[in-house]
Amino acid sequence: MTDDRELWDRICRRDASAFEELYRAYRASLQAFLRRAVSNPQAAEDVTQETFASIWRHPNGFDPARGTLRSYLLGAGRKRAAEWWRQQKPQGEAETEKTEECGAETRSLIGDALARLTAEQQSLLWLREVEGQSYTELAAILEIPVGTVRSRLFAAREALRKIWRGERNTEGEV
Amino acid sequence: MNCKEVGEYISALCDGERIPRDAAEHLGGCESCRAQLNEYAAMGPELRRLASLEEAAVAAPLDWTRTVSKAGWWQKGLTTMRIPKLAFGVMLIAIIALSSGLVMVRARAGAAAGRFLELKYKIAPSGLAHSGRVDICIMRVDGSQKGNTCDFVDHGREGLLLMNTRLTGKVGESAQLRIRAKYVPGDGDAEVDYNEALFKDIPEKALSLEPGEKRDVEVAGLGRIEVEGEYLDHIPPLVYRPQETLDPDPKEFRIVAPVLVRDNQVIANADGSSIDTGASDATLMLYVPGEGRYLVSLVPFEGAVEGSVHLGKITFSLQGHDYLLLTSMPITVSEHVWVKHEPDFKVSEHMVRQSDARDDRTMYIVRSLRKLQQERIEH
Repeated sequence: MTDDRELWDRICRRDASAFEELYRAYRASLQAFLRRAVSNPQAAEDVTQETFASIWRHPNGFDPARGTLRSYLLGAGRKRAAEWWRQQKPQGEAETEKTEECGAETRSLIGDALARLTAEQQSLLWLREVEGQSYTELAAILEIPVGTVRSRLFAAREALRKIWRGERNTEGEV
Repeated sequence: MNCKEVGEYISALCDGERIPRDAAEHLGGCESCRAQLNEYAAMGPELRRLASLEEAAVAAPLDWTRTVSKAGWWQKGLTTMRIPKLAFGVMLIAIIALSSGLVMVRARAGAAAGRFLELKYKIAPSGLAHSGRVDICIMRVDGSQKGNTCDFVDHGREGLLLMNTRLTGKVGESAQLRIRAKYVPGDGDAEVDYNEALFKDIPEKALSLEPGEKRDVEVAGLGRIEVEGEYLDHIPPLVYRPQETLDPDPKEFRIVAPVLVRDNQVIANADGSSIDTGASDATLMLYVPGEGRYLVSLVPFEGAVEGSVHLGKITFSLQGHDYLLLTSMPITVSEHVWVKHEPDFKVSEHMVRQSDARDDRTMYIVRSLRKLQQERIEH
């Protein structure tokens, strides 16, 4: 993977091959994250596209001194996801859709348990455990203080643990 | 501090954050909080495993043009490519699926989350085959009796090294090992009947090993063997190359556990792996008893026919037969290889001396085409 700054400079110069490189490198992980952030696979795909499209149309806001391109993309995706939520119907209706649309090939106890957390908790855990974002990066992506990152991570972990443990016990009884 | 107050610090500890002394003291004495820590630690690998599956699942190509119509590059690619559109789509899936497969590979774990212990043995220079090299093995740390041992036997010009390591558990972060090692001078060429009894009479030595720490094991008559350990939350694609990723490096040519099929009939089925990471003419030589050898090269050469590569599969046709070479990992970033069958080839004395090759056993190696062709000349 090319250096973040160099890749970004090329994108700003409208270098399509650089944008293609960005897309290939990060699309799958961004979409996987957005599946958590919007709790809806189809919406995640749309928001992913919108995020990339927006960056291609208006490449601005990335500062290599403040973080990696990956963190920047995740932050941009999160903002798009927040916009998506604002345009949605009340959460209860969206909730009914999300678990049924998960592909059978990726179903797992942990996946089912995760899907039962709030979108915010899912996003936070995903960014920390899967994307490996540091507390500082999480604070920048989510636009919250570092101390809040720690307390919210604990709340998310504890919620997931309780559900996950319950599901494992249930499966063990079958 | 009580359990409720410590909870947030347990979570922070999972993330490698420093926690207050009184929180650590509570954790040390509270079984319930330690169980909570273990469960938090176990969730990370589970989530990363889920992620690797999901990222592969979302890797289907998107119709970018519906949102990026002004960008042009994608559309231009679709209309000007001389390969079929479907093939381009498949290619993209492959590329993205490969890149997403790295998620698990990157993750290293702390002792709490580590489900596996990676041990590296560095043998000091001597007459042994592995002198100066690093041997790696992976063991389970969950207390299971299966998969908690690691054996190796090293033949050399001057002697034979027998080594057996057993993981008995953990104390804090330290892996508790029992090591049996014996050096037999002058027996390097001896046939070894490989079984558990081989190590039975060798006395066991205890070794407590912290992650990242290097310890020496004294082996009488040989010297010191350096042992280093680290916890992993996964088994790497290649045990002896923990940094290996699923997608091959641009310079890599990798063959792992190959199976060669001719007209739907298996003619070779081998374990192990062989990798070249630098030769521009990297070539697989697969020797099959009664069949001679097959050379599969990244470069064209005299008498070779072109074959296709897709991830861990190579297809080619030779003398009216359709061949399929399957391996358990993606082979190369190249989409083409060149293949030649040399039915008269036989294992040379040189090969026997340099490896454990035998003319009645399937064997394979990846190395420079030039060197492999020299092998033929020497023979």
